[in-house]
Amino acid sequence: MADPSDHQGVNEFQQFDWEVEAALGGRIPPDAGDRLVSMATAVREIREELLLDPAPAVAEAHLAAMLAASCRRSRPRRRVFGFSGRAMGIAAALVAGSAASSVAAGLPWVQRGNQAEASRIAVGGAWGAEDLKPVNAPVSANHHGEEVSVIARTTEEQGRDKGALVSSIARTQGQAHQAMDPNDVAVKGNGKSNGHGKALGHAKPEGKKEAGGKDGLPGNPDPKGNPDPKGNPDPGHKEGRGPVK
Amino acid sequence: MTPATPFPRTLASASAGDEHALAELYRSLAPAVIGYLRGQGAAEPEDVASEVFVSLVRGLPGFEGDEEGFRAWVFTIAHRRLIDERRRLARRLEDPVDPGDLPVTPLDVVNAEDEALARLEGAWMLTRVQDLTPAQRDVILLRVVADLSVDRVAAILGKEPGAVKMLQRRGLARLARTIVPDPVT
Repeated sequence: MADPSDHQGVNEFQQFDWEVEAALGGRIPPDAGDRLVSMATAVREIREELLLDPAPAVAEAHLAAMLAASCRRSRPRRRVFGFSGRAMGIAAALVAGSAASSVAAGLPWVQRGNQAEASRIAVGGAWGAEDLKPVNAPVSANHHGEEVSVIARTTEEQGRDKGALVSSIARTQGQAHQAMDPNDVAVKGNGKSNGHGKALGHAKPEGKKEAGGKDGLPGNPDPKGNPDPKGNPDPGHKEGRGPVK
Repeated sequence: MTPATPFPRTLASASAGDEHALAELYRSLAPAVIGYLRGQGAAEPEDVASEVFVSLVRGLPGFEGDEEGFRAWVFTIAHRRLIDERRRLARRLEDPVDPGDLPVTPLDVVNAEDEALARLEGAWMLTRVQDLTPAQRDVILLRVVADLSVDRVAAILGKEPGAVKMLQRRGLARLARTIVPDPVT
């Protein structure tokens, strides 16, 4: 341990802070004292033990979750900016299918091959240009039933997974149809929505909810790069539960 | 970020759902995020990290800032998710454990033999970090693992920069004291 008298005329705290920064930056002068050398060693060992690349299966599962979240996040935007409920339904079916595959393979750490395939489907399949139609294209209730029926007949899922998949598609299609229906209360935004009716800009956008978190604890981080822990919204946390004005 | 793909472009592409940009963001952040959660003693660090990255994707369109701000934002999310996980676990705890029944950690007796065994297990310094006070641990991990500045750490933890400096001084000094010098032959 360095003797404080070694740093006469220098504030001990300032010296210590300088040593901390040097240790964190890995800048150890040749004549460094024991304290700085020990701190630098501690910093190096912490990094060696903790800064490790995730296992490939873990990384693939994380990436698949990110891609699925990206697709889910895109759905409301399409509704506003010009894509049909049919395209959203197909995208949801593909995402739900990949999720169901993951469940079947044993989430969260699925087999590498299955997860890669799920990722491929979630990304490649969901964004097919042929699925995109202008917003003013008619949304047919018949199409709703047809698509659900086709997927129900063709999916490789079985039992509970199949039921969950078909239910998810039917629900998504139904919500999309409701959103396109001018008589739907969620579209009118009369305040009676159950929290799912955030179509056409009547609900607060994701990540813009009120300040403050649950249980009286700080809210979630500010997506504008200012990580204020005292009440900024969490990006997309509890998606779809924002209050409807 | 690599020089070939500057951060703003990567961020914009990731925000638009580009798979490669998302993968690049993930690769640049995953070791630190998972390491931070592991250092904090999260029960399932990979699961919590998954929540962090999903939240990141959802919040990307609203993010404005530079690379350092982005990193700070991600670790703010990670810190919040960690608190959420601890709350969840606390609610599930039903069987109280007698402290006397808990296993003795290597830190209780620091000598060359114990240190050598702990080092062989690859968790020597992790054990030391988890023995810090919670506030010291928050600061040390955000400074060392997340590689954030004092001001960013202060903003994440809701503390003054001076308090963060004091905590890092004490925390690092405590860790440094556990370093056993190499024996002189």
